[in-house]
Amino acid sequence: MDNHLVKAIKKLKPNSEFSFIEDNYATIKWDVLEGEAPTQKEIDAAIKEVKADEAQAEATKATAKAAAEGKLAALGLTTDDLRALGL
Amino acid sequence: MAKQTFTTGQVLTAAQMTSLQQTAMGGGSTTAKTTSYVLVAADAGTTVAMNAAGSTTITVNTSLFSAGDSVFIQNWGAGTCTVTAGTATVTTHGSLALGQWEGGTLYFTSSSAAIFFDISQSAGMTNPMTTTGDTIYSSSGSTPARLGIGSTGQVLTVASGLPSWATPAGGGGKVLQVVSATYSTATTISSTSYTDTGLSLAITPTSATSKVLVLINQPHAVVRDTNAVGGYLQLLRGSTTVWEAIDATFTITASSTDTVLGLVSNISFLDSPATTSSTTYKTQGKATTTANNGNTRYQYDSRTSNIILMEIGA
Repeated sequence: MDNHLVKAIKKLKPNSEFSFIEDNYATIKWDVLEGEAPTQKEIDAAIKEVKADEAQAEATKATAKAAAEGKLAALGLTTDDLRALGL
Repeated sequence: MAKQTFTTGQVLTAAQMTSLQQTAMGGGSTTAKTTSYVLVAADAGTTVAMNAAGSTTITVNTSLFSAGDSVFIQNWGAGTCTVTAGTATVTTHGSLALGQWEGGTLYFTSSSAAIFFDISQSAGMTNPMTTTGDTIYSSSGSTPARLGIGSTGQVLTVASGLPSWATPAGGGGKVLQVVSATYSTATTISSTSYTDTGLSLAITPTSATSKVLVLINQPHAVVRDTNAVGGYLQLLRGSTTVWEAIDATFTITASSTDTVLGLVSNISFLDSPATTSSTTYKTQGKATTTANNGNTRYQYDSRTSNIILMEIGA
């Protein structure tokens, strides 16, 4: 379930309330909107940023996981050892 | 010609035969009157024609005519001419009062009794019909009235003593009609105000006393990055809310990004729309919060919603 359009709109208009059909920009109906409605171009750009942020978050998460696993290995431990300890 | 008494060996003239022929054909000699008149014996077999502007009478007395005699009476004038029983008895099925251009035959059954066979030219009934399917009924006495054709499915009934077309009641509790629809277009609502989910259907009840059973199953989901989010659902008839979830219909407590909870909401509601107009039922939804990208989704991922409307006879 793709949540990118909601995130992009909220990124541009954090206090807005709205609805839309089938992720279609043209169907957006605003219940609460401060200022001008963002253009489709602005929303498309925001969607790219959201996706990049998500990718970055995933990468950061993977990096942190790898670093943690490296530290465990340096101690002679594995993730299974941590599970066995109830961690 | 007037009634004659023929004798043996008498030779009839051509004029007499012609007159006899006219009389036999309902015509014959005519005596025009302009004032009220009392029939005499010589009127037997003749036509008495009244022609007066005002009301007049033609009086019938006894001992002037024999059984089998007849007198033809006509009214040419504008004034009403009334065949009046003097000392004789006069009976009729019709009217003894003759309007202009009306008439009849006074036929004697005895010397003291006659029957008047009214051949008055009644104007007849004024046709009240105007449209295909119209029917005629008596609105009062002999007064004709028009009953326009009813609608498809209606039956003839009686209301306040008069015929009318009405929608059959259906016998109570019977399903009179069923309509249904499906909808698969995803609608995302990131709002705390009720918004159409896109699921709607119209029904036109055949009777204002009917109930409408609304059956709905609608897949939807709640989505939020973190923390709790709930969704509401309400059912509307037109713009009127007829059913509403009193609290969030579903809630998740999320601690990770893009947490989703999907389910199917079912609504069973018996409504009384009290109308025979087309009536639309629809659902609306809203989220309990839009913070942290909270939203609700109906027909999410194009899952199909169903709505069934059943008209139930009262």
